[in-house]
Amino acid sequence: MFLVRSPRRLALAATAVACLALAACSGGKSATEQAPLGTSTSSPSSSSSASSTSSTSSGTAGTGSATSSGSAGSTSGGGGSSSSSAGGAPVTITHWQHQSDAREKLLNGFKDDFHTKTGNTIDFQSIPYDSYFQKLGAALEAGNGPCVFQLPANIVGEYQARGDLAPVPESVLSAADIAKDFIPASTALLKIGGEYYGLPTDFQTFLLFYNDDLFREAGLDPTKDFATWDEFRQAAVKLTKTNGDQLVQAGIDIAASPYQWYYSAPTLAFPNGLVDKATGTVTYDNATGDQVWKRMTDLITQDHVDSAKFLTGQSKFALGKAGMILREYTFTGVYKISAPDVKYSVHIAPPVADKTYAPVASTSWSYVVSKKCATPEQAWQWVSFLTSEDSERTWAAGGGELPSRVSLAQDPTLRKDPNVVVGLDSMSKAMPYNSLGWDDVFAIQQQIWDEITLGGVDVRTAVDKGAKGEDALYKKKGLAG
Amino acid sequence: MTLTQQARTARAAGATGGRPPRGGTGMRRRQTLWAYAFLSPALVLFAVTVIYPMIRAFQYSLYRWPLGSAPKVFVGLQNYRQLITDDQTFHRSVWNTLYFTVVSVVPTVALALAVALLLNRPRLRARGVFRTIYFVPVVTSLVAVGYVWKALLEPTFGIVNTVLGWFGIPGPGWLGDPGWALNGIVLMSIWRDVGFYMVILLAGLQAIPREILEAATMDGAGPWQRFRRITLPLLNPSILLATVIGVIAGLQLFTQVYVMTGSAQQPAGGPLNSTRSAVLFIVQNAFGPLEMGYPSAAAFLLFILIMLVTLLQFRFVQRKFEY
Repeated sequence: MFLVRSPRRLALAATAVACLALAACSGGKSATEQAPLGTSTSSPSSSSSASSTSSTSSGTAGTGSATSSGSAGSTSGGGGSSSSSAGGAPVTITHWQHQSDAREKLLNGFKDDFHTKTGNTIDFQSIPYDSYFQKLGAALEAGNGPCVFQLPANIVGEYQARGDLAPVPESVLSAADIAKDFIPASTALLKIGGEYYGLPTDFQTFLLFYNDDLFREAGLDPTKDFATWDEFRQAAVKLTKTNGDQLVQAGIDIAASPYQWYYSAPTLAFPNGLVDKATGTVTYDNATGDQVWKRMTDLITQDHVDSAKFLTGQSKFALGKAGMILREYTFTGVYKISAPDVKYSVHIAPPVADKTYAPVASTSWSYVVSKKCATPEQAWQWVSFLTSEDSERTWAAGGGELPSRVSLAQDPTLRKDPNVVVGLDSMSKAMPYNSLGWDDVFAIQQQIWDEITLGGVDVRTAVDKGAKGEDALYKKKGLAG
Repeated sequence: MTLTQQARTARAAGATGGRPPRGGTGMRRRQTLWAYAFLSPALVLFAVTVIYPMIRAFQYSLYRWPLGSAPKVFVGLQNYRQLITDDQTFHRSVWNTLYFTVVSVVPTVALALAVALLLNRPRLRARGVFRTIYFVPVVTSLVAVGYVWKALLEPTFGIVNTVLGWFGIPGPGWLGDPGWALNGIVLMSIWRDVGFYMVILLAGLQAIPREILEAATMDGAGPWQRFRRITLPLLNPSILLATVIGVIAGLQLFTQVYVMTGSAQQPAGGPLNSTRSAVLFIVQNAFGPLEMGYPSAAAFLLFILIMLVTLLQFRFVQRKFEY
């Protein structure tokens, strides 16, 4: 009676009931209809054979079931965003990756070559990084995502666990061939349950860049690598210049967000890297982790070789205002354009922890194929083409990235610049930064850095809090345990 | 029955307290139907683009809702509970948002009022030029403005600290200092928004009848009394409008923080969460882990907060004045 007497309340209650009913029914339905985490609804062989004989997708929920119409080369709207016709007729494969001018230019050349070679068309979209994951996530949810897309290797496991990825079919590239032909660090995170779910691209090792002029000015030898952390630390202090209280030259460009350091150092300090793959928990919440974090942050808090208030948000190294910086290999090319006046050389950074398990850490991205792709075989052929030896040689020469093929490490056509040679030689020794997240983990680790360097929090407290946060994130994602 | 007869009958019925005749009701119903017919395109659009997404967002907020093929798990009010009781980053982001709103809206409206009063002086020359100058920041891209202010606030070589240095004032670390970063963003927002509120208040000032002010002058009221007793009360609707718009915009703080504190090398919202706003929190929690449930709950809490604050404003700021 209470409700009937008050039409407003009645309307409000009706809306609330409708919302709850919608919430309970719709989501519940999808929850029960979905396969459990990590469970594939189609075996690799079945998806492979389906695509080779017909274009009917093995994907779920209707999306991606681009039934062949026989019209060659037409693009379907749903799921896999590609269509094919029976009998090997040309298909269109949608391909998304985040924006990079150099890579976009190269990829446009590759897609023309691929079309000439196979008759298949690539519908390529280059999406600004800031909106890349928003667009990809929404498209995957709506079932109209691309067939081929680019993911950081660190989150391939997460997407595979969500049931979004198709494995590399043996008919295109066998697991044994992938293991043999590619640098182990570039594929370590792509192999899940004995199958590969991506092929590597944008392989980068973290290297130490010296400003050679500033080194000489400080009486340091820019041709030598640092053998120990202390040696490096002393050089950083020597390279630092102040005017009164104010910093005017940083010994090392490290203050703001040196993710290259906190990705590398904890990774190299543990035999299993930053995360134990078996348990899905972080390895650095202990004395060794504390040592690594303390040594890195001491550069700011004790040695004052850089400050967050010095040239905030600027690239001090590119401006010639820092003696050193740890960056990805690609900056060997980037600085040629953005800092033409800076004479730099590239080196392997000294070990941060007392005991390290590899000299350099690496990151990489990967090309993956959507599980809802109507033509996974053709999509993987395209990815295989992109990661072939010839293509990788082109990527390495023009795209500022390391090749991930073993055979190219010693390729004389690539070994002309001494800085590039350092990068090529670092590949085979690299250990992958193996967190199980990307921007979300970046934020957690940056928080540890900020709390120690800006908040005055002691290393143990900050590291423990960050480690627990990272563990909780993996647990929430269903990747731990 | 003619329309005039119908109207007479209706008036007579109204006078005796009886129900209006059926003919009048039918016509009114037809008119109502036509009104709805004309309104329907807008209503349908509103329902599709606002109401439906809101209902879906509410649905998401009751789930763990990863994007893609992963299962969606019903968690009831757990997302809300976690946000309200456990998530210190969310609490900090709400605090930052409220701080920004108060610290930016109050001085912006006050400054805009001062500028509007100056520009409303009848003897001021080149009034149009000044209006344009004050309004230029409003029509400039917020992203561009953000980048420019990032450079202005650079602690070592930026103009702001250089000028402070001329007066012997050691400039703060601005965006590199957790204690100052949000104030840097406030400063930029005040500079940008003054022109917008100035236009609203100037329109309000020009709507005040000149006779009332002249009468007050003849009664011996000085400039301060005229402002305090006449201008300010009659300007109340404009001030309320400016404040409500400002508060809603403040509570939705995002672009300034995203542009001024984030980069490929650094996640936005730092240092140490000192500039993370509620909207930024929602975006980062949605599109970092590609999870819609938790940020949808945060969005609903923000929605409730905006609604409450707006209602409070209407309750306490709105005053009716008649002369």
